[in-house]
Amino acid sequence: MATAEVIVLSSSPITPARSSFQTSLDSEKQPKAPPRDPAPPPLPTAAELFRPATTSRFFADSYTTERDNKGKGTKKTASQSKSDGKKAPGKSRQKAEKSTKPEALEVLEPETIDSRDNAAKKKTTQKSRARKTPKSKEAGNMKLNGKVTKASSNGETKNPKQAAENSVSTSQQTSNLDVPAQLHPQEKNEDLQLDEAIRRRRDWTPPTETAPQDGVVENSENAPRGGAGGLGKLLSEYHYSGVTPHPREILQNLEGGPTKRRKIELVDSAIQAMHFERSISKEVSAAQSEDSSSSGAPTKKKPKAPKKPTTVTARMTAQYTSKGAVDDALIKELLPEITKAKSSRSKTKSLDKDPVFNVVSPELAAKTLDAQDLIFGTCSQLEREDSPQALREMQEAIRASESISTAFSVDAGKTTDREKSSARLGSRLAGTKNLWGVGARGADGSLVQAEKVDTVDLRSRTQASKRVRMIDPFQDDEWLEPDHKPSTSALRDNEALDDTKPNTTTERKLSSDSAPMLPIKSKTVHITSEPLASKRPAMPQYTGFTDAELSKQVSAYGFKSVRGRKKMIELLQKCWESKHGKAEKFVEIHVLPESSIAATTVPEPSIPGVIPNAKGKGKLKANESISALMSPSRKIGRTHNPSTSSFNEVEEIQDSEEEITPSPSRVQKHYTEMRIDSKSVPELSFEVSASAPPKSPCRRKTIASKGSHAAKSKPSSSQRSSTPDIGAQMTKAIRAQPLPSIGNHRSHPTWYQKILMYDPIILEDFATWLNVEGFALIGEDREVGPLDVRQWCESKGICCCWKQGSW
Amino acid sequence: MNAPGEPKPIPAYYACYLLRSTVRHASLYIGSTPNPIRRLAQHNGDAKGGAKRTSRDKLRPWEMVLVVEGFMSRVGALQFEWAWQHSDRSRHTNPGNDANGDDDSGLAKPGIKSRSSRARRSLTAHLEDLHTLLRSTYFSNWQLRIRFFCADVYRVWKIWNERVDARLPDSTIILDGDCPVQQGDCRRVGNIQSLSTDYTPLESYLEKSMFLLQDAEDLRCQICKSAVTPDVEQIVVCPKPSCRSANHLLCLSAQFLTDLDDPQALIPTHGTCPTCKEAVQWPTMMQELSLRNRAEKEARTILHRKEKRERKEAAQPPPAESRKKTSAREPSIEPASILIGSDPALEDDWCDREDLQSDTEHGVQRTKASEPCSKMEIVIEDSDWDDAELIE
Repeated sequence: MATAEVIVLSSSPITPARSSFQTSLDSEKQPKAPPRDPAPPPLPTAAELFRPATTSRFFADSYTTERDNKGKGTKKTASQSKSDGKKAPGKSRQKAEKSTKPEALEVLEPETIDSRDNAAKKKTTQKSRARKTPKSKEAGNMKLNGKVTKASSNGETKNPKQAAENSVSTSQQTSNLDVPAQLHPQEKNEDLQLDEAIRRRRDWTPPTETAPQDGVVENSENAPRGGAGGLGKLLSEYHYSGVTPHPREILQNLEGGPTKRRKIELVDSAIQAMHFERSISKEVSAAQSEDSSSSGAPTKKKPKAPKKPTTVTARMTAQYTSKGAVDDALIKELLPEITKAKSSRSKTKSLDKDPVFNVVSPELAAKTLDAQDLIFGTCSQLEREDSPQALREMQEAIRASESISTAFSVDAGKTTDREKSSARLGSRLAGTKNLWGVGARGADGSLVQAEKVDTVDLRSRTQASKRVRMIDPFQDDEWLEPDHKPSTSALRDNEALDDTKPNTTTERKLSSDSAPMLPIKSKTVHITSEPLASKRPAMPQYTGFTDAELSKQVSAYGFKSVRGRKKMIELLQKCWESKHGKAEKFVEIHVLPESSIAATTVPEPSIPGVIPNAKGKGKLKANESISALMSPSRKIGRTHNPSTSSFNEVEEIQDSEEEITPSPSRVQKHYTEMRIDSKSVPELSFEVSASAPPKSPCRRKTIASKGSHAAKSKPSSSQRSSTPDIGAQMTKAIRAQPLPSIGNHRSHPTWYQKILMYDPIILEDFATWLNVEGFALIGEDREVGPLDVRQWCESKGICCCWKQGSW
Repeated sequence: MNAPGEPKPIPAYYACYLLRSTVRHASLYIGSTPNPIRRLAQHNGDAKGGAKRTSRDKLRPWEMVLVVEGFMSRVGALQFEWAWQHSDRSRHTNPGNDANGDDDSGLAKPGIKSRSSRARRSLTAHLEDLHTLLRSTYFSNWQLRIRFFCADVYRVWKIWNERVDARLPDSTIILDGDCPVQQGDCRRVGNIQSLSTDYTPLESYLEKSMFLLQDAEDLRCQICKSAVTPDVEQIVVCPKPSCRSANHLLCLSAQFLTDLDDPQALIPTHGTCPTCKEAVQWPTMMQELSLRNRAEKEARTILHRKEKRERKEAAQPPPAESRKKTSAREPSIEPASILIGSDPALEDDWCDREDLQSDTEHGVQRTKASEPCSKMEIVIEDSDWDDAELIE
């Protein structure tokens, strides 16, 4: 900047002579200039680099300025003729310079100059022009001076030589700035420098091309710095200076260019000249400020980078900025692991626990996770097992099982996490879901106290460490799975393998406890496991769903409504995968290929008694039921659910035959499943009705049969419940309601008739009827609450309302 | 029949509407009413009982830019209204909210803070909510229809429609008022004043079915082939004037549902009459059925008034016939006549009479013959039909 300013000073005195020069070209170029700005910068740099970092640069700039001045003058043909001789050499130089030196200031100048020119044109008399031009030049000088002061400060820092020169000029210039009237002193000073400049000008090659001034402008800015710092600096700085000035320049051009001309035309030239001086001075100051900002920006930015990040975001990002691509690659490599980690809730939790600001590399995190001993359970459960010894034992057992499992990697592969869990449970508990439900839940739907379970587990543990683990997984399933069932850690996979063995043991135990029942259970379990395993993986065809269904599904997964069918489908698919499919994927990734295949297709090889890979929930349920059998205490005792998060999981176990008013979430799931299961439902219900009251000892049988049927019939869809969806049952019950044989049923319509006639259904009444009569008609022994009924009604588009409502 | 506690018949008309201030278009109001004409007058201060929010003179007059009609019960309309007004809290607009059990019956938990913008939502937002509601699981089965009265509102709607993936069936949109005319849409009535809000469209249907069922001894359900006993059973009569089909409610619905091939559906939307093979709308049939079975007095009143009107128009007013006709079923005709005018919905009969045909009723023809016969019920019926034709 400084250089440029200096040059301007020099140029101004000289200009009058040369002014005529190429003006026409320049003036024409100017309008075009703004768009060109961005392009030119790169070219000039090279030229400038080669120049010595001497005062010459100043001159170069001065040339450009002069050129501009000339541009003013050029229009005056007479002046051109005079200066032609001088110009010719100068032009050649200008060319080079043009390409090389751009200056924001200059940009300003051309505009102003043009305006002056225009004014001059108006007058048409050369004299007037002559007068003006000097004035205008002076004005230009003024601006330049102002700039110089600023620039000088910059220049000093960078370029010692220039600084020295500048200092001379600047001192004077500064004074000039303050008092525009003092033109002469400046000129004198400038003259000193100008001599050299003149020489150089003569060396000039005439600018043949119409190269835009803008390019020149930019170059000029860069040039001074570059000269000082050398090539490297120039290059490094080049970008900033190039980028920043552009918008400004453009703006200025837009303002001052053509529009200014017109304005000026209206005003008297003499007066205008005065105006120009002032305006220019203002502009100069403005330009200076801008320049300073632009020039300052790059310098500031450089130091910033090394600074320590102060903001949170900066801190967070800083760790990744340097690594860049490498990190990405790493991340990609690690991705599977990460996903694994994420998949299991427990893992994610552990991550969360880490201090927030410690960003561990994915690798590390994965390792730590792997290394960490995890025990899954609810707070209460963990609390119970608080004793370090128990925990340790469990860990050991887990490890042991893992080692075993690795040996049996194939088996492990078959089972997804869920499967494993279910399998363990199943083997242990061997039974139907219903039993499980009975055992785990009280009549009021609350959870049975887990303590008893623990006791059982502990015993088993004593016998075989593996068993302990089995218990744990079960718990895990209950509490942790709701969010990401499949995700559970690798441990589980291994466990699953182990489970098979322990299962057998457990079953035997069971047999001892309840001898007759065992065989049945085991059979049922097997049956269920096969179909489920094969069918489970099939993801529902969400694309075939209606929007309403989709939205329902989405809501069932706990998401808020998503707009757009596509998105919903995607979301659902992801959800589904995370719930069911993920497990498979997970298995595939970690387990041997064989295992994965087995998981999807192989039903179950079949060691009687052992339930290797029960995929489905059906199994789970069965297992649960078994478990219920195993621990008599469980059946009796009823625990209260910690609930909230556990709901989902619990729901999956839906099968409980007890008449429990399902939790809202459960009901919801039912509904979501309803459509899927609809096919299977009728059969199931039928059988159920046949088997009838489940509460008695016969229950087990019925349950077993149910389970098996469910497994058979359900193939298509829901992995969770073998029992028919409660919603479907409600539909059935409604349809099953007989017309009153006696009396006028026109005035006492059945529920279905009411529905058909668009009567608002009173939820409480309807629920009561269902629980008292309706379900009895179809052998359904569950109960529904008004909320469930509402859900069902709304899913069917049946107008429903509360009794208390004042409707 | 209409004792308290007894279910009421399906209302002749119930609508939710979007009210907009003609002065300040940003002022909007959502309400519901069985009678938009009267309600609009209330909002504008022409009648007593407007909502407070619409009582400011600065905002009057109001215009109904659209109505959502087709509600089969007041409860349903109120639920829809609430859901529309409280779209931020409604289960139906935020399916994800199901879990928290909030309630569309106005009993939303106080703890749930309503969106502050509830007071001020833009037209677009309201239309968006409306769109969402009509697509919701609950309301999408209700066969609701939107009737636009303002072209600019419809434009906003259309723009919104283009931004949403899900589309509503075209049949849910009725362009009315100054909206561009839909080809072949005969549901257009022109303006709010000419909306039919009473049972007038059902008159002929009701008349026919009542007459048909009076003498039901030889009538058989076309589906189960057993005799129908209208006094005891719910019998649905085909709305087509020339069809004498009468079926059990459950039989017919079962048949329609199987035809619809939607195993999940509980309520058919339409079907084909087993006798005349014409397409019939389920809601219309239910409307008539409920009116006939649950509000016999009103039904008779309606018929009575119809007769009267027709006679008047035919310049022949002998009321005896109608009594005879009705008396066949119920000995005491008097109460019916006394009841005239008791139903506010019926009061507008006269003014609305002209364009009253509702979409669903289009098929119903009024037979042509002008002589009132006083002897036989059948004859009477004929005469009535004739009268109807004359009227038109």
